[in-house]
Amino acid sequence: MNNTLLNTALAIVLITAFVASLVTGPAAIPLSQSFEALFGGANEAAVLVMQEIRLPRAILGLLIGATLGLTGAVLQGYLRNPLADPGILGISSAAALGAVIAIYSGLAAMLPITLPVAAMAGALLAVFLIHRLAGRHAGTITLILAGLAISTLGGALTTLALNLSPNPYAALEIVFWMLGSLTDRSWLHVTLAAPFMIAGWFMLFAAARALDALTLGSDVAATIGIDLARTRTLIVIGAAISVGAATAVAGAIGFVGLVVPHVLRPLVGHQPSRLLPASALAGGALILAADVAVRVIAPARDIKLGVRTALIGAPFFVWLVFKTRRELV
Amino acid sequence: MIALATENLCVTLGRRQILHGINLRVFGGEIVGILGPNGAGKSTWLKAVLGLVPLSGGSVTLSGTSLSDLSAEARARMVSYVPQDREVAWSLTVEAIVSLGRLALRPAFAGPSTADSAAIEQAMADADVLRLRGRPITELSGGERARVLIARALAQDAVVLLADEPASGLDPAHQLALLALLRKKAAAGSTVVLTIHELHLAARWCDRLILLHDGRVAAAGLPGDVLTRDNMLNVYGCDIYTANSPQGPVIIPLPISRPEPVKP
Repeated sequence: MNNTLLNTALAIVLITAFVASLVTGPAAIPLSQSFEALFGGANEAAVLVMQEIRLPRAILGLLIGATLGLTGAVLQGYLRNPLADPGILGISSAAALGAVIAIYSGLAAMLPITLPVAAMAGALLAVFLIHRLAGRHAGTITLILAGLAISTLGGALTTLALNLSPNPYAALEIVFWMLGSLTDRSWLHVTLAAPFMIAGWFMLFAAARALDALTLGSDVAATIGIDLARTRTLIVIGAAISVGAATAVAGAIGFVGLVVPHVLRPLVGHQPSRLLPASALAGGALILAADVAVRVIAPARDIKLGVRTALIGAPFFVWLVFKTRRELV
Repeated sequence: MIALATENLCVTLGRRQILHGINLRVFGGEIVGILGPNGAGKSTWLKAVLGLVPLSGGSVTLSGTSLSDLSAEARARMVSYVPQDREVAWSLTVEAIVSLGRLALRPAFAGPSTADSAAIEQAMADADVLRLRGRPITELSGGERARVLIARALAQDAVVLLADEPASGLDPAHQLALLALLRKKAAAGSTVVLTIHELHLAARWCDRLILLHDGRVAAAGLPGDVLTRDNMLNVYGCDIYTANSPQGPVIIPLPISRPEPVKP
């Protein structure tokens, strides 16, 4: 498929999902009124709902989805592995641990902003540890091992916090946070996470050309003229700050970073650099659509976004198994 | 003109010293074949010239400039590389793969220039892969894939081409076509260094041969001077049979012939 055509189509889907997210919610606001309220209308309640609840939620959904899709595409290209995802470097689990510590210690209950701040701190600590653990000249295997070590440690400490949790409510809150959600997110969350996510995007897009060269392996990439150390720094730090920020405000949302690049790869002629914008657009659209679906299907139950994406992700894997099996015989 | 030289080149990987002070000079426009048993240090020597492995001693110069003084991009303009491993991570088309050779020669986010497109077309024509241009590389046969990867290196338009066992795994016709292609590039002014196990091809197509053994140069010179029975016995532990054909020498490796045991 033509690349421009694909990206245009995905952008239209993204915008549609964004608008759908704006007009969906428990408050019954007529369509015409909701857009009026977005730019300051007469109905004060509607203005409040649109500007303070739905708009930040939709913006966060877009930013987080784009971050997860983009990071997944970059990491799959960099590690030359179609099963890599943003969780592979241990960033998500370190961010989750930071958040869990904030909830566990009661800080989050006293001052809500400490929750995303602690998660960001966890993510940044993970980046620092990966750099120290993997060393200056690390190859992809060392990087994956370092990520696995951090991921395992983060997971173990999070489970420990659950294990020692002082009361069932704290445990429940930790579990709910880890399921990932966009409910009750405010402009504060947007201003906190957006700069990190967008800075991360710039770094990841700067590595696009190197990803194409890495198709032929790191030795050939180096002889084509790619600076491998610079590429690694751009990707590790770019992925860490953007995924760290996303996890900090929305919890752990799986599958998007894995599934989106996987589905789009054949449509962009398997070229890693072309996969980046397409995955960012589709990732944003997928999270927004999943968030709309959560609100439409079970408005009263608050089914967590992470659960929703996992429910989409699992059948996808089953389909993938059958597809691979067919190709083998 | 000396296209590339290594002086007293030493490489240690892990705890094992792979290369022990290699002194070699390759002149512009020649095809040099590097021979030696598995593990002799052939690939490591190529990688050291490309700056892919750290040197523990000695130096590499490309057209008179020390390798350490060259940026990654400057080096890409001087030397291109075809690795032994033909693994390609994603199923790109042949044309997309060949285009990668021009990647670092243009500004970031820019498309291929007219010069880039011309070099890509020329490389595909030289390697005879034009008719495969739209095919995904993963669907090609081993011989076709090898030619595409050579075309990728040719598109880089560097003066020196280093190829690690480019002929291995190819059928005889493709081996001959490949060496004819390299010969053609050398005649046009390129310098080619390749590692090779096929003694008959080395004897027929290379201007000079270098025989490595345990990380040292065991012999260097014209094919006839290097491919001697003594050298083969000492380095490979095998015998050879040499004959002359109308197109040049024919060399066949043979097991060492032992005298028949005397029956009582």
